Amino acid sequence: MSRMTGMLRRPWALVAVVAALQTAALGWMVFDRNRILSSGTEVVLPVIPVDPRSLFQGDYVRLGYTINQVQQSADARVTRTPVYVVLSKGADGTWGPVGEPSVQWPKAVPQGALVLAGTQQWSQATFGIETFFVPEGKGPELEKLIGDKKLSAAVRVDASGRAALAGLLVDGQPAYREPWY
Amino acid sequence: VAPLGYRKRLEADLVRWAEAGHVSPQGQRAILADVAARYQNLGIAPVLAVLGAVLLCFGVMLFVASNWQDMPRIARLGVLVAGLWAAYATAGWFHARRQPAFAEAATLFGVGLFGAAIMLVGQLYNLSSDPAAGVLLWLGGAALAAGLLRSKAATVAAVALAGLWTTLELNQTNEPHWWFLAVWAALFALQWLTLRWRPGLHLTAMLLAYWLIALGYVLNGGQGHEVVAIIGLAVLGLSLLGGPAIDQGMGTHDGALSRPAAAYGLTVAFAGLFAMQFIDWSGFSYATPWMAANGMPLAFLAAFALAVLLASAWVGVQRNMPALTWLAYIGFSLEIVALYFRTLGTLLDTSLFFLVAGGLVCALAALAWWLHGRAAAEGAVT
Repeated sequence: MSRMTGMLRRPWALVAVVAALQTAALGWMVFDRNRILSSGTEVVLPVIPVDPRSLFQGDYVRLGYTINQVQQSADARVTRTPVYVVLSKGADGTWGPVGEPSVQWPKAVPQGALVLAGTQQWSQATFGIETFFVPEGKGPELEKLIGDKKLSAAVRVDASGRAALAGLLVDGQPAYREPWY
Repeated sequence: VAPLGYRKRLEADLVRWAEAGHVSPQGQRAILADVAARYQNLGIAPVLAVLGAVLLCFGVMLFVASNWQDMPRIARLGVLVAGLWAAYATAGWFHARRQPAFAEAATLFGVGLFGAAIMLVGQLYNLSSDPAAGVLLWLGGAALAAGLLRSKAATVAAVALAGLWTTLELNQTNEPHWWFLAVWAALFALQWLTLRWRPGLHLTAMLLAYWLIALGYVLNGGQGHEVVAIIGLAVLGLSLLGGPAIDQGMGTHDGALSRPAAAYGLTVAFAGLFAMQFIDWSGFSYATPWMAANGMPLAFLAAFALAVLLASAWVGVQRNMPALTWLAYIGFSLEIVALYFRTLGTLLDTSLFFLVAGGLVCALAALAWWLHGRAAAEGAVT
């Protein structure tokens, strides 16, 4: 059953195709993130403690937001379903949810507000902005800031509601913000 | 690389054939030279190269995980992509020099670097929430390398990543992961059309068996084992009854596909039957020891499972399918041990059950021996 293996007729062309396609896939990931970060609208969300016992796992910090907790709607089954949250800017400069999250793109979005798209499972909604990677050993420092409620996240949201974490703010001042490229 | 011991066996056979006059001395030399050229014995070098590549992959992944700040993040990605190109260039260099065994190691390193780069991009942009999507992309890259570069190592990586992918999805949703079937079919077709490397195909079949068995734990709120058992029995029955037709349809020689399929079918069927009897999440059978985990009478299910196992062992012996026979023996032992633990506490009944079952199986052994003797006698007459 085994065929004669390994002897390639055009090895150079083939390895180039493999390397090029894999590089293209990585390039697309980077491009996609940067598109959101550069063209998206920036919102600032207060970060709340997720789990007071163990916030720090390995090399990243889990970030919790008020919008993560949603009512378990009748449509939200065990499987992951889309969820949309309307955000508007509050008096203190941070953004917060308006009304209840919906399973469809909201029909009416108030002036100055925007829509954040995420995924819901049970009563937990995620938006792809819940982890912040830190250098080895730097986690506890951030954990403490989250515990003291001093931390907020700068998030860029594009027109389709997809979000990317742009950086973190401590007491409203930018910190932990690195160049995108 | 030659199949294990093939050269040694061939050399011994050639000496015998030359002595008997079937092969001329020139022919003997020519055959040995051909085998030596075709299956270059490189010893342990390619094995060490592949193991080295695995270690390098882990080293790179840990480098990514350490999130080293002294190098700008985008430069780290650049290093990884440059390494990826260098790995594939090395693979091309070895292929051009007709050294596919070493090209394997370089290809595997390339696939590992691709995965590490995906992780790094995730870290770079603080992507959260969907590790399964990253694994799926990685698996696609591994399958690409496996298909285009005819790489066994990349094939193994792709199959392993498919297993990781479906496990992540299952843990996340606790629902059947149907998309897996499409990816599995693509992986199988890819191998069938290119390498047809036996261990790779076995690994791919094991992956499907794993997914099917896991299906029982997510269907019907975790009690879908009947479906698993029926699928396994169907595969077992079809491969035993329609074996030659299946093999011809797929264009292989007799038994190449249907024999392993029967063994995998039995494995899946038994896993389903076992879970139906003993994997109890609803608390049914703890109250009543003679009730199976799915609420059916345990004696009925156990008798059915044992009958399937014994029939499989029998067919395995009849048709010279040792894998099927051995799997049936293993299944038989597991079933008996599980029955023993389940019925523990009513020792007299358990003892009676084992005495009756043992008597029946011994009677079957006597019957088989008698049939075997008759068949041998008939064979001697004709």
